Amino acid sequence: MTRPLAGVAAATALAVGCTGLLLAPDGALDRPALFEHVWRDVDRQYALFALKAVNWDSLHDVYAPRAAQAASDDDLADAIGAMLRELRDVHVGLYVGLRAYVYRDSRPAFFDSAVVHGRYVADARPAPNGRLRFGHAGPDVGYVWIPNFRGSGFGTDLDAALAQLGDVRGLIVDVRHSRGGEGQNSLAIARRFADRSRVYGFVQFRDGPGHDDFSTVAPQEVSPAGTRRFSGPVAVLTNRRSVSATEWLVLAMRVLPTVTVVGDSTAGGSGHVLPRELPNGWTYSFSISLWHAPDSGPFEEMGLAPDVWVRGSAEELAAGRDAALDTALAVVRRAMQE
Amino acid sequence: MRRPIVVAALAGSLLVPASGAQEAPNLERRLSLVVGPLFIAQRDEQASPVRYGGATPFLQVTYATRTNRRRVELRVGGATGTLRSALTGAYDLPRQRTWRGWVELEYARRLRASDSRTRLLFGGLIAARGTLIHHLYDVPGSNDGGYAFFGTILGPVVAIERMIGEHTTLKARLGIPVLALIGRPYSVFYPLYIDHPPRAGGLRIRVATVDAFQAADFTAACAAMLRPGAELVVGYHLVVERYRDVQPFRFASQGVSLALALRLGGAQ
Repeated sequence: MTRPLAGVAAATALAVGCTGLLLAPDGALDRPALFEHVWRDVDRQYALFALKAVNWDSLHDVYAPRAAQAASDDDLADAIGAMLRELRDVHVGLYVGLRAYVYRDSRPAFFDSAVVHGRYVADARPAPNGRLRFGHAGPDVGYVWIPNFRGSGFGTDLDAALAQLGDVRGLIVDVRHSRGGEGQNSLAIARRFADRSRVYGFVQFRDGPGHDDFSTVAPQEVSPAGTRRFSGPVAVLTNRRSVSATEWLVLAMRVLPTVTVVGDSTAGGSGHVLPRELPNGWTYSFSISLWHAPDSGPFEEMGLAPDVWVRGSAEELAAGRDAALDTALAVVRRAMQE
Repeated sequence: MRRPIVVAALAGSLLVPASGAQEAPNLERRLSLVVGPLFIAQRDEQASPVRYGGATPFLQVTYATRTNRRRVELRVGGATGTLRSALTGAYDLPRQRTWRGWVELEYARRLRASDSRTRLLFGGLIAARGTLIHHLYDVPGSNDGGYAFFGTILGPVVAIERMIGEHTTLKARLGIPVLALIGRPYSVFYPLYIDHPPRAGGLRIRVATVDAFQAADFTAACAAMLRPGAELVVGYHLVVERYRDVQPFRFASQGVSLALALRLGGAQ
């Protein structure tokens, strides 16, 4: 009796160890197949074809022969990377080891945290979770710089910063060169300024194989949260490197009556990013949603325009002057006097 | 051609006269708690073209009623665990956190050909099964992705039970779904899209026949009576699913289990 039972146990152990064999093998690894996989995946999932006015089928005709003739993996990555760059989307990219094939926004943006902290906010210090730096840009004007929205603890960091800034009457939230991150962190910041629930944008997700297949338009709301709400005038500083989740913060802040957006337009990288992987270990990403601002519609690529436009210049920065921050200070002080 | 035959067979099974129609119903109710490791392999091409796999614990509660003529079984179970990429073989990024759940109702009637030690049964299965995948990617600055596959399936079941000793019974059953309602979010599954979940979209439900959805589930078990009214059951479970669509999905699991089955009432 023992021997048959042992046999059954051994066979079962062998069988369960081979569960993966019950599936067909993973996708092909040859270069044309990898190219086709990326092209087809983007074709079925990317949300912004109509906005980009890109004919994806023609791009296949252009780049598939390059991929088919690729003599090396580098050649293939060049072909796929070049095809993806045609979408002019900062959320679209191919990642091969340490190399990134991404679209670079060449529009100028001028910001230097050393100038800000050296001349304007001498007491800048990190908040407890390290997600933002804060200090005084004037005797009664606070300053908060958020370099990105990755990680956690943003809301509590802002609560702590507002508590330590004491009775400042105005605030500057600087998100220039802020590289985005998780949308929930953007919202956690904006909710500290909200007086009531307000719709700040609308989102649709790609929801079918057709390029125009989208889910229903879903309103996004910002509502009050946190231990302390800042009700004084606020200037949000933006520039062409304020991107992705940072733009969702700007979107949520600009519907609040106490907020003025100062600086340059944001980058216009609006969608949710969907990461992907290939059977050869490469990864890539693209946007799967389409965002609309309540007043101006989609802002992909063009960005969110500020209320007060100040771009600044390299010469001003070199001279230790931050023109956008000067303007933000003036805007906040003027609002404090009203 | 295949479809009408299978559907006719399923319908016919419910009309087959039970053997020993003159026997008393002799109703028996049993409740079983089934636990064990489940070895999962899946490839959800919405998430990745790469296979993910690993072992997870699973738990199932089974409630069965049976007479000499028929058997009705309700199974509710689930498993959750972290699966690793076949490409990396490691549990760091990328990886998939997976939840798998099922509710199954099975009805089977004894066939006339059965003898005193062997029972042959034929019937139908209706089951709802769902797989949720929280995929964590290894892409610079990336978000997570949430994916889901839900299927409500209908199909015939064949089973055999044979006593091999005074207190020991071997059982095996095979279910082959022939019709399914497939629920599949097109893109990310919003409740699992951790980053700023929007309130939009939803499941797309499609009717799938064996052309688009092929599946099978097989169970083998050896039940030994511990004492009157209590059985210890050692089992093996196999489930395979393949969905061919613009959003392909493949799933396979094998499990070994230990179960304690208690008689709640009725005949011994």
